[in-house]
Amino acid sequence: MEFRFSRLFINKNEKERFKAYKTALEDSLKDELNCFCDESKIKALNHCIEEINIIIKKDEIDTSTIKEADRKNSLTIVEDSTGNNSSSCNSEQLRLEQNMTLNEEKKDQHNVDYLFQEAGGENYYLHPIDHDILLMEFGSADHFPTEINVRLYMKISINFISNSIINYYILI
Amino acid sequence: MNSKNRSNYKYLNHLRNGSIFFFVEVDMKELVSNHTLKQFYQILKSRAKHRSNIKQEEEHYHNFVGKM
Repeated sequence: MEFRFSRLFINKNEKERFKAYKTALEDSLKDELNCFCDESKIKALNHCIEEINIIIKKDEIDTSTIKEADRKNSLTIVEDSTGNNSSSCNSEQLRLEQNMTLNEEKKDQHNVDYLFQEAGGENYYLHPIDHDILLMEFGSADHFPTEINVRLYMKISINFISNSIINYYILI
Repeated sequence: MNSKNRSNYKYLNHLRNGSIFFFVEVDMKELVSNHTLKQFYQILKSRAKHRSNIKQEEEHYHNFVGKM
């Protein structure tokens, strides 16, 4: 039995993920208002959107305070090292800002998780050991192939309550 | 998926609570070189043994049910 898996990536950044959830919920709300008009559903969707808005606002406040603290630290370091020279101070400031943006870009690159899911969209995922083998072969997850065609050995489901593996389906 | 599973499988964090998912063991021989397969030899061997054990148990069960 042969299966096709496609490589997917998931953003680890919670803020971006919640924004995506919000857009999806807003779309479904529009559909609901235009086509179906189920009041209980509309209420529930509005409640979810409000909660997500609160989470996003909290995240924004946290990130802004952290950024301000970093900038203040960098400015004090520059003042200590350069004294009263204003031109060198500006250049140092620019360098620090460039470094900060580069670091943020690097963080964004590492904020992605790769996984292999069945190409049709079913909830079949590659076994963690197979994932490790692929990591060993390709060095890093960025070099993974976008699609793989493989023969299945076994399907494993995990118990919902006790967390132990319960069902095995041999597919050979 | 539940809160306990979430910590074990962080890359499946996008799944909602209560959703059912499956892990799939696959044949990696066509994808991966022999050198990397050798490094996972012990694990792959134990997995193959485990699969054969399950298959045997299933056959025993089917035979038992057939006799009834």
